[in-house]
Amino acid sequence: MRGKFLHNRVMVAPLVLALERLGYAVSVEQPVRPGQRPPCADMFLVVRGRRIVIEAEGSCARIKNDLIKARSLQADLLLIVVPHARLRLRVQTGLIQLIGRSHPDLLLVKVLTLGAALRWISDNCPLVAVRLVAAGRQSTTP
Amino acid sequence: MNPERYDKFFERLGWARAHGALNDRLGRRLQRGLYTLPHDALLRQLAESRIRFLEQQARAGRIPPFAQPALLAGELVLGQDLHSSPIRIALNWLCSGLLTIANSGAGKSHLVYFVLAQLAFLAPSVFLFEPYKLQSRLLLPVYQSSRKPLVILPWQAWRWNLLQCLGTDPGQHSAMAVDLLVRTLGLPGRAAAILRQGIYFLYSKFGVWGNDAQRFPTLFHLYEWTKSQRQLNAASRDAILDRLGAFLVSLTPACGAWTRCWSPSELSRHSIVFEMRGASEPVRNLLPQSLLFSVFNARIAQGLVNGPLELLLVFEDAQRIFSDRVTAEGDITAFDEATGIVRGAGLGIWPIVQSSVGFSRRARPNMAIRLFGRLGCHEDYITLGADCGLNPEQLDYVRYHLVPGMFVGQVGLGSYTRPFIFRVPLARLPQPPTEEEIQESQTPLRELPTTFADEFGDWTPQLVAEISMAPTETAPALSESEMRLLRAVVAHPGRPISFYCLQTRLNGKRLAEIRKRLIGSGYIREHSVALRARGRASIVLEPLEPGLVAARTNPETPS
Repeated sequence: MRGKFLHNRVMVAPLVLALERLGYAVSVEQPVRPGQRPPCADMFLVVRGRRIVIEAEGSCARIKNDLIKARSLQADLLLIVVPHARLRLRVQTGLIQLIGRSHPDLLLVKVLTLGAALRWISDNCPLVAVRLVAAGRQSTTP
Repeated sequence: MNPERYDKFFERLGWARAHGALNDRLGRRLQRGLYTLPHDALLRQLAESRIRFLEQQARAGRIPPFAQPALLAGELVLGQDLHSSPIRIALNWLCSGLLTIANSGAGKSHLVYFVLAQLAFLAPSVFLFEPYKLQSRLLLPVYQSSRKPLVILPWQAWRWNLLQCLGTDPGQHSAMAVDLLVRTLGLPGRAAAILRQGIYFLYSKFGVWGNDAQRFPTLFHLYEWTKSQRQLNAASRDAILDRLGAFLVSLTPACGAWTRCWSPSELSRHSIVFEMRGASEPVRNLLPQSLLFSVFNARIAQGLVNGPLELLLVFEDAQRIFSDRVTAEGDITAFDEATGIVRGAGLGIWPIVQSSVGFSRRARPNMAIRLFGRLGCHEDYITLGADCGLNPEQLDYVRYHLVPGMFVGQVGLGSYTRPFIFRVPLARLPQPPTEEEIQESQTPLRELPTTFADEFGDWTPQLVAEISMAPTETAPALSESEMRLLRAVVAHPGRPISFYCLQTRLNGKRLAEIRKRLIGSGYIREHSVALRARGRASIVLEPLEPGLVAARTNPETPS
């Protein structure tokens, strides 16, 4: 991976580990186009036919690139994972400015901290979560 | 008439004639008249008036007890006697050496100016060494008017190389160079052996032993060679590096780093004033002496034939150069030895000193012409009075009557060898030349072929010791608690603080202190990451490269 310690060891590794525990095949460093040194998305996976790109970011600088990469991969969802909440607010502000200037598309973008992203994965993973939800519904249904 | 009276008359007339009473036109006529008519009353009356005047002057102590010198022929005028008659000597007599001793303010520099101004119109070249003053540059207008080039050469502009032996035997030259270095720099005896080895090696490297070399090693090469020879005797090597290094720093590469410098034979075709003002004492001593030896050796190698004077070497304030010291081996110096044999080489030496005390006793007998002016101590009067053959009456006279510009001389050549007294006419010194004129005067020397050693263009002696050692294991500068945390971070990177508290069995406050110290020392780095969906962000720790090295070199010892 091209990132440093915080990116690779602290943020990407737990996300990959969590997704693999849930049974998904996660493509790490997924190239967005052919070539010798193409831009890569940190993680790419398909969940129930929906293409999801996960990007771990330590700053607001590369948000625009993340959008471009997600559109190149024709993703349905871009999940931007940041280390802490202060950065999440800044990234969200930056995204509003970027998407407001660009053409509206079907790409859904979510910005989460690492802990929230892990929770989101565990809650919205269809292989397990649907059953859990179904089980929950069944359990909660009188 | 009483014949006895006539005899006394002629004795008195002879005395008066010796004191210059008959030097004018009338006096010469009177002398001839009395020779043909010794009893003529008118001639006697005229002569008697002159004799009585002189006798009155003598009774009043105004007549020096010196006879009028019979030095009437020769190209060079030393000065005027007390009756304003010129005292002449032959130019070639200067080959036998001229010594001038007088204390400060006695008129030595005026004497030099007066003599050298005449040499501007005569054949021989002149080397004049001025260690302190800048007065001899005033000769430049005189030489310009005579259309004879005079070079004013400050020592910084000199292109010098002690080890260049063009036209001389390399072995003899190296021995001379070592002796000069040892004496001038005050090196120990063993250093001389090291220097000989170094010069031998460098001469071999530059192909000097073949006698056809055009490039020669410099003292900078010798310094670097000594520096590279670490197996040599440490004390002697250090002495050479210290003193030779300091000498080379004061010399500067611009002056001394010439693999081909101005050779003595080329320089001896020009009249040059070497201005050594501002040079360090070793530079002031070594540069002139090396040139002299080179000139001597080159002339001696050409063969000694009693030829005319070709080069006059004048040393102002030469007390140090002609010092009464011995060589490192306690032998006669090569310089003293050379002064005895330069006469046949067409060289003249003229040392000018302030006192005979400390002046080389071996050089003094080889100076055939001795001049001394006002002296400052009894020893000088006794010594020089004896050397010049002064009787007690003359010695008493010179003690009290020598004034600035007045000198006593004695010439050991020719038919008149008695001491005499003379006065140097006061010269009207011209305005000093401008800096542009001085630069322009150096043009003939700058056209001579020279080669600069580019590798020493920005040379420094690097007196700072170079200490290098293989990297060793990092000493455990960290405490045991710090090492415990560091090992935990290296073993489990990217974990929150609470994890390390459990691992190291340290409480949170203590661990926070240690963490700050390790961060400050550059062993670890902390990141704020929200590992949980809610609540405050956790602090995770990242080990850095120094921390990895420290943990690797100081592994945990099994208890």
